[in-house]
Amino acid sequence: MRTTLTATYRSLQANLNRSGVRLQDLRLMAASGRRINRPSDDPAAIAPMLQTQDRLRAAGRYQSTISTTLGRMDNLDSRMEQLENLMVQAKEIAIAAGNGSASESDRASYAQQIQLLREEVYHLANAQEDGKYLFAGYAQGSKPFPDADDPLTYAGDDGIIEMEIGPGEKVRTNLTGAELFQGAGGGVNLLAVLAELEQNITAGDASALSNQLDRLDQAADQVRSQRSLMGTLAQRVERAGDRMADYKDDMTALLSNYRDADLIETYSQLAQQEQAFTAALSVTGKISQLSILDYL
Amino acid sequence: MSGLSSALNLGKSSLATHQKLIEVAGNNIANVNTPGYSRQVANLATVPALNMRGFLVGQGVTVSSVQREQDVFLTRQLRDKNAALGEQAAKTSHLTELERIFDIGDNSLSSRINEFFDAWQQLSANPGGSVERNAVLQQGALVADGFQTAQKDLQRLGSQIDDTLAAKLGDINLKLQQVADFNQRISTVEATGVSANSDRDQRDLLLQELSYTLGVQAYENSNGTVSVQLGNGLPLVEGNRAMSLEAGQDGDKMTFAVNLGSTTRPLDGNSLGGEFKGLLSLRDELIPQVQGQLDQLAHALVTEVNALHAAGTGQDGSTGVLFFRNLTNASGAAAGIGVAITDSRQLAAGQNAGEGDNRNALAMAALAESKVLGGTDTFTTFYGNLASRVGLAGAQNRLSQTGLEDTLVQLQNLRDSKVGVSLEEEMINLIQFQRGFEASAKLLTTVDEMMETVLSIKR
Repeated sequence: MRTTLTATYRSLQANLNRSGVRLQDLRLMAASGRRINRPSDDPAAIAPMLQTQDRLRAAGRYQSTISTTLGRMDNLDSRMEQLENLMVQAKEIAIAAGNGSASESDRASYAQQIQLLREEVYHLANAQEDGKYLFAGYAQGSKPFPDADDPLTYAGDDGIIEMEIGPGEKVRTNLTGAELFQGAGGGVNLLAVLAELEQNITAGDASALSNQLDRLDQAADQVRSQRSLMGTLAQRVERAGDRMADYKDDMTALLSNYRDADLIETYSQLAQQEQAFTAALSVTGKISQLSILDYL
Repeated sequence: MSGLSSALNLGKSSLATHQKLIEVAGNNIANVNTPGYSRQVANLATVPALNMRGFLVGQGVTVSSVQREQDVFLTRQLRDKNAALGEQAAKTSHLTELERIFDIGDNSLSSRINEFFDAWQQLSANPGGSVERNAVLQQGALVADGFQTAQKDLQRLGSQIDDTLAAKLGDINLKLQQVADFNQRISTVEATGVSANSDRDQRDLLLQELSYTLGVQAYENSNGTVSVQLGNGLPLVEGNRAMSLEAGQDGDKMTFAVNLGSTTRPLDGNSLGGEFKGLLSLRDELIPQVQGQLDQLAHALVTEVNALHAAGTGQDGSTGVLFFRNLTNASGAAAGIGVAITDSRQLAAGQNAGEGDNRNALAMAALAESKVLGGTDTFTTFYGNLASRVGLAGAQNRLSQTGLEDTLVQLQNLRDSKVGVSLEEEMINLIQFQRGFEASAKLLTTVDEMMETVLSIKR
């Protein structure tokens, strides 16, 4: 076996090349902080990595949906609180008006109060948010209760608006005017009750008035129970928000697991490789100093 | 006197021979860095002895031949491994480009598809909003653009490969002709009994290069010529005659054929090796496969989105509207994809015309996570598999290329150790030959002095 200078230099060059490529890869890894910079870096990890990336993006979207939903539900809740108060007020007025000592002019004043109250309830029933009617179902573009004197007309629909607050997890975020105000499905029609109440007070019909008191109680209960239903849903949304934050953290960790380089390991490998490269360079330098020509 | 003059002759032959030896060593040293050069060795022989008064006396030395060292096994190994390396090396840059097309970063096709469904999710929170509606349309256009860009890049990659191959043809034909010329010279020179050393070296080098680009096989004939063939036995060089490779066009693809003079024979990936095989396998296997999958992805996306969209109702009450332009079949889907809707009011967020109806938007957003491709893959995992297939090809290529480069370095080192020039060896030879030359000169002076002595006997 003979060694020739060409062979020696060729081997050195091949080693330097390989060392250089490895050094470059490690530098890229350290600079980008990523283990996978292109599909060939780890073909098996690509599909799960992309999926995790998607889920992370989706989690961000769910979080923003959740905060929108919560805002909407808060809004709905405050309207219902108003409605509840109005119903309590109506009952107080009804009791006062039912008192036998009320004079004609008192009754007229009570009737006027009820009328104002009724207008307020109509106003609530046609409440808008961002130009959309809250209690109109899907038909948010048009007034659900167009005629203040006609408690039986509902121009909205039965649309239940759901929001997706997690993968496949949907919650209802609205109440239709028919359910809340007209008592669709066996409830009390608040608008009709108030209209009748006004008539009864004006007419001074004491027995009818005491009848109305029961219906007013039922109406207040109806509002309260719907409000508590929405309150429970809002809590669920809030909890989903907390869960989504956890989920997002998990996905971030998982993505990092797939994609990111272990920096400590990378840096130590980089240092190691730099040393190897320096050694290879210095050997190359030494080789050229050793020649038979110096000894002849 | 006759003895002395024959001794003079002997000295002369010795001087000339050592001079020749030094020339050969000098030639070796001069070619220490010449690629493909094989070390030459001068074979010495004694000049036939003469019978002088009953004694056989040697008449000096002569260079009987100058031969090159060679190792047939290593030469063939080098050719084979060069063909294998060529196959891998040619693919590298194109595979890198392919990896760029099927990128996995934030601007990848997969991200765009996901952002499209994300826009639907956003729309579901505010189905009446014109900003959200326009966002869906814009994301849809971006998805279509992503598909078309990938499709165009793939096509460009195919035609780049064709260009690369076509550019090599001229060089290959020239080399084939050179091999034929060397065949002619070597057979003529060697018919006179002299070894055509450097011509053989250069021919070997040419064959190695041809092997790298074309994966040729070569067999030496008894008259010193080599026959060069393709893997399937089609002749490329026969004696002093070289065939030529030609490029043709079949549709949008380039085809290759050997011109055998009277006929032409088509070439396919199997008959070739080296760079041609690597590039053709990319062009005819990997790229069409990837293209097919891209079309499949585009087709599934268009079909699923359109079906859901047509079932929904737009803000203006329109139903049965297609979101993407209708595609009849999967082939060409990636090139044909485009958003059909222009008016954002036609976007079917709901199942009735109500402004607040978000049912269809929710259903659309759920498509992102449903396994619509073959019942096993979501859009994202399908794309992921596609990217990982490309990545796998790239990783494999990198691995085999590194391995083959190492093997070739080893083989070349082995060849150098057998037939290459070692400067140390040549230097020592130089000293040895110089001493021989000096001794021959000494012999001549001695004989000269002896002659003078003889001549001085008679005053």
